[in-house]
Amino acid sequence: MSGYAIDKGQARILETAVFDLVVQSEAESAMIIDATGSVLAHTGDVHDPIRDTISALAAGSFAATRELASVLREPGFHAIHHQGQKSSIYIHSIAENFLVLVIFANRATVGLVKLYVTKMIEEIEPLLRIVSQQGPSSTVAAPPDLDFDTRRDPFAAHPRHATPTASP
Amino acid sequence: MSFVSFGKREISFKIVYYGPPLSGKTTNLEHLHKAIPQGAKGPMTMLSTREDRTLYFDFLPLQSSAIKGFDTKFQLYTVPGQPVYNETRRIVLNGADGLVFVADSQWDVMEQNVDSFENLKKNLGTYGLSLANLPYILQFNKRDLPNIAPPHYMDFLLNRGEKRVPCFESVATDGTGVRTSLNMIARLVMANFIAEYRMGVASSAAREQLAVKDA
Repeated sequence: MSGYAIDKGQARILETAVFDLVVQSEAESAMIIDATGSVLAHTGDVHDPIRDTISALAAGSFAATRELASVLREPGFHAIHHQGQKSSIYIHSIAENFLVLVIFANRATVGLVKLYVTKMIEEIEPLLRIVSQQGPSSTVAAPPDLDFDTRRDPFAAHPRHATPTASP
Repeated sequence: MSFVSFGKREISFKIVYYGPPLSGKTTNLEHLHKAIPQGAKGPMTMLSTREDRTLYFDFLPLQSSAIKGFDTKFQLYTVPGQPVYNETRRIVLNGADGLVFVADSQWDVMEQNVDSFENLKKNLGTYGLSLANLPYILQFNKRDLPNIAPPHYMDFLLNRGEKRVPCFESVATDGTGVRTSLNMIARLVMANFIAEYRMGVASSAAREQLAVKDA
């Protein structure tokens, strides 16, 4: 899969799905992320920038698990469950290129989380398969013209923030 | 693998810092983490061994408003340079939109630079990718050390692919050349994305016109 995009309507469907999942399974937070760790939808207490860190680590963790499966000639480990003292994480793959990640306190049960994740996957998998086959520009009816200012650096040094030895 | 959320007006890109062991990939990210102001960066995550060598990857999320009307996120990753960790290097490369190859300028590790560059090409090949169609730059690091190769020699050694790419001299420990390298790869990644995006828009419009004619 190369670059892809989601429009407002697709984003709303995914946001509703993770919201329902959190309510039904009594979890703390849930996200739908892609294989590089970009967040497509999320609900719960985890916010930027920690959210990006969690999604990058979860994507990395799942990629390593996938390689383990490959080494063991196992067709695929579709889910991983990290159990902690206070909270746990459950990660399940969807439509090859995406993951659903659920963070839940230990008062919730992993069985309930698995049940509602399975139900959610049934609902959103067709949509994610469509998304992964579409290029960014074919997602919206009237794609905006995207551009960036070639005269300005994306990360220009600001005098107040530059370190004494900042690059020229 | 770029990701656009038209609803949230967000675009994400993944940039990977690749190179031989101890060439300064992590030091690049550490400097950026110090130099980029709060609000434009998230926390830096390092998955390291006890000896502070990268075991899996380092991760630094940055944010800019570079693409007009969109929050533009750049997720920076490093890979472990040691040969034994090739599988993890390969995993981290997956979905990269751009690369910074951090080479060590010291004469005695020149062979490692070449080996690592060949390894990069091989690992990209496992995803059906090639340096010919992926934005990347070369960074010649450790220019403050004695016994270093001249930049034109390193350029001759590493910059001989199908396209010639920008090269930067750097001293990642004091930040020299680090931000410049990031700005260049960010520009190349955005330019590549926008060119592909516009091509997609143009071909969709052409398809629609054909459909109208057929009707």
